Amino acid sequence: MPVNLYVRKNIMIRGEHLIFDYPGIRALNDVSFQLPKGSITALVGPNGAGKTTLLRCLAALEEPVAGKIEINGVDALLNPRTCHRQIGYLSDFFGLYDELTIRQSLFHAASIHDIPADRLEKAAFNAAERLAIADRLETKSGKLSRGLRQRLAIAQAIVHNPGVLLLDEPASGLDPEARHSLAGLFLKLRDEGMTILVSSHILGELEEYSTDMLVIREGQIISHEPVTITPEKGSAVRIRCFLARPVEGLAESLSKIESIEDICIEDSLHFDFACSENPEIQHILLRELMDLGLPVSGFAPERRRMQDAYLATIGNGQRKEV
Amino acid sequence: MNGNPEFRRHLWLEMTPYRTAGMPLLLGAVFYIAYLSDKSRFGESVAGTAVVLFVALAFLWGNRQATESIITEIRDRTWDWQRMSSIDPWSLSWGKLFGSTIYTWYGGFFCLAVYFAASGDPAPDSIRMIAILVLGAILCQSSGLLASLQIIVIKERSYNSSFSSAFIFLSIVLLPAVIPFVTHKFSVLWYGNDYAKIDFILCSLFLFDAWLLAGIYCLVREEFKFRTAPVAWPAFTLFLMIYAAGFAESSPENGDLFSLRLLIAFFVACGLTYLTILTERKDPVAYRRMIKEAKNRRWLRLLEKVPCWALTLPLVFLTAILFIAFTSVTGDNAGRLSPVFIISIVAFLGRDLVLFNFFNLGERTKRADILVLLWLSILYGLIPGIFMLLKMEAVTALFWPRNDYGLLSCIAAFCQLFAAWRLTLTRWRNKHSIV
Repeated sequence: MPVNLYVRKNIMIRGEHLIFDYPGIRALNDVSFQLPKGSITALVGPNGAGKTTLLRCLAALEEPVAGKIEINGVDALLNPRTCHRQIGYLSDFFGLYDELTIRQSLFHAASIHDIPADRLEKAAFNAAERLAIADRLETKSGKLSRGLRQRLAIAQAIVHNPGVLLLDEPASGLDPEARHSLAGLFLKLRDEGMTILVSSHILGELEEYSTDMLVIREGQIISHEPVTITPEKGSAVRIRCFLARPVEGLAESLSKIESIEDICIEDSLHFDFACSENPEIQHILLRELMDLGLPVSGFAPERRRMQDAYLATIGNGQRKEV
Repeated sequence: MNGNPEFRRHLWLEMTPYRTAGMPLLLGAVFYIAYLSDKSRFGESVAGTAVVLFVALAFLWGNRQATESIITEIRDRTWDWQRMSSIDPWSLSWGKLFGSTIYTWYGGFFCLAVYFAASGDPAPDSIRMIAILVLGAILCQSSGLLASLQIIVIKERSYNSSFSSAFIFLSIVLLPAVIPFVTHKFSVLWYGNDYAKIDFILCSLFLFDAWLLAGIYCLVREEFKFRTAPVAWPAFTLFLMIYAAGFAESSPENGDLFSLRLLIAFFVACGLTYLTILTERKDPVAYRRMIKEAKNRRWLRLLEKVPCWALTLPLVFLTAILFIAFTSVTGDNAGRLSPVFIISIVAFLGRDLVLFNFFNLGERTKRADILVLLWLSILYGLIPGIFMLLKMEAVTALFWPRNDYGLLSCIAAFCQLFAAWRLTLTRWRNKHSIV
C-alpha cells in the first residue's frame, strides 16, 4: 500500500495495484503511486527491491500480472505502442551500437521514432547538442568513454522529445564531474517539461536534482514524498549555525533569544534551532546573535538530506545496501 | 517510416568500402583458380564452384548472420530500444532478414551470375536452379532468425551461437541429401498428380519461405507488444498436415488412401504439438495471466495468450476423431489401426504435455524440459526395452501405444494421464494459484 502518497494535479505517470511475478518470486506487490508532470522522481531502494522491474513495466516492456499503468492518460497495458512514443527509456547498460558513429546512432534513433525524413538530420544534431556531444559526431560509439556513452544513450532516448524519461541507474560508473553535469541536464530537461523517473543507489547524486523520492522495498512502495521540504507559510524552519571559536555558556546565551525554539547544540562550534521561515525575522535573529557576542561564521536554513529521509523511511533496522 | 531504418543500419555496418571492394576480388580469385584447374575452360567446374561458394555464403554464413542479428541485440542490450521504437514489425522483420545478410547476398549475386554464365544449361533450367538456391538461402537465413526470435520470446536470454552452429551443422548434413533430389529430373506424386520434381521443390520452398517470414513477423509483433490473433500457428499446422498428407500413396498394404492421409495429418499434428511444448514458455506466470483474462471474460486476449501447443491440440483431436469415424464407417483403414490405438496415442500425448507442465511448475524450472525428456526416454525406452528383452511384450503396452494391445494401452495411458493431471493440479494449487 502507498505510504505518504501525496496527490498533485497534472499526473503524468500513474501505477495502480501493480503486481509482477517472476517464476517463484513476486517482484512488485500491490504497487500504487502517481508522479506529477514535470517532476524528477528518485526511485530508491535496496538491490532486488523491484526498481528495474517497475521501470520496465512503466516503459511497457513487461506486462504485470495485475494492475494498471497510465502514461499521460494512456493505458500502457492496452496501448503499449502508444505509450512507447511518449517514453524515453535508458536501461542500466545504455544499449548502443558500438560500430555506429554518434551521427549514425542519432540519425537511426530519430528515424525509428517516426521523425519525418526532412527533419532527421536536425533532430539528430539537436539531440547531440543538448547532450554536448555534437563536437564528435564522427566518433564510433564503441570508442567513447563511459560518460560520453551515457550521454549518447540519453541523447538517443530523448531524440523524439518524449514526455517521460525513465532512467535505470544512469550514473553508475561515472566520475563526479560527469555526475554533476548529468544533474544539470536532468534539471534542464525538467524545465523543458519532461517528467523524469531515475533509479539509483547513489542518493547524494539524486539529491542534486530530484523533486520527489519514491522508496521501494521488497516490491512495495514504502514512501513517496517530496525531497525538498518546503514548509507551509509561517511555519518553522531549522537554521544551522557555525561559530568561529568555542563559546562558554552557549546554551545560556541562546536561551535569551525568544524567537528561537528547539535548540540543539551539537558541540561548542555548531548548533541548530527552529525559527520562522520569514527572512526578515531570520535577519533580526542573526543580528541578535551577533549582539550577544557570538562569533557567528555561518547561518543557513538546513536542507533535509535525501539520505536522512531515506534512512528514516527504511527504519533503523533496515539500513542496508543503499 | 523513413525507408527502412533497420535495413539502412545494416547497410552502414556491412557494406563498408573495404568490404565492398574485397568480396568481388576474393571471389574473382577463386573463380580464376577454378578456371585454371579445369584446363582454362569456363564451364562445369567454374559453375560448380559458384554453387558451392553461394551455398557457403548465402546458406551458411547467411544463417549465421541472421541469427547473430538478434543475439547481438540482446548482448548489447539494444533490443528493448528496438521494441520501444515506432518501427513496424514488418519493416523490422525484412530489414533484419535481408539487412543482416546483405553482404552474403552481395557475394552470392556474383556467384549466381558466374553460375548462369558458366553452367551451359538451357536458360530456363539455370533460372530454376538459381531460384531454388535463392529460396533455399532465404529458408536457411529465416530459420536462423526465427529460431533466435523464438528463444527471445521464451525469455532464454542466455542464448548463444551454439544454436546457430547446430543449425549450420544440420544444413551441412542435409545439403548432400537435398542436392540430388534437386538435380535429378524425376517427378513427384502429390495428391495423385505428377509434378516435375524441380518445380515441386521450387513451389515448396516458396511456400515454406512464406511461412517462415510469417512466423518471424508474428514473433516480432509479439515482442513489440502488438496484439496478435492466434491464427498463424494453427494455419501453419493445418498447411503442414495437408502438405504432408499429399505424399500418401495408395497400395494394398496402406489400405484406404483417405484414411492414410488422415493418419499422416494426425501424426504431423502430434509432432508439432511436441515441438511447440518444447519451444514455448510454460512458467506459472504465463498461466496466471491466462487465468486473469479468463476471470475478466476477455476471451480474445485469453486466446492471444494461449500457447501454441494448446492451439495445436484441437487439430490432433479433430484428425483423431475424423480417422476413427471414417474407418468405423468404411471398415477400412490405414494399416488396420484400431480406434483405441489412436485414442491411446492421444492420451499418451496428453500425459506428456501434463508432465512438461508439472516439471515446469516446480522449484527448479531452468532445466525442467531436459528432465522431462529424460523421464520420457525412461518411460518410452528404458522400461519397455527391459520388458521386451524379458519377452513380456504385453507389458510394454503400459508404456507405449500398441495396436495389438490397444485396450490395455488405452487404459494405461488414461490412468497415467489422470495421475499426472492430479499431481500437476496439486502443485499448481499449492504454489501458484494465489495472486
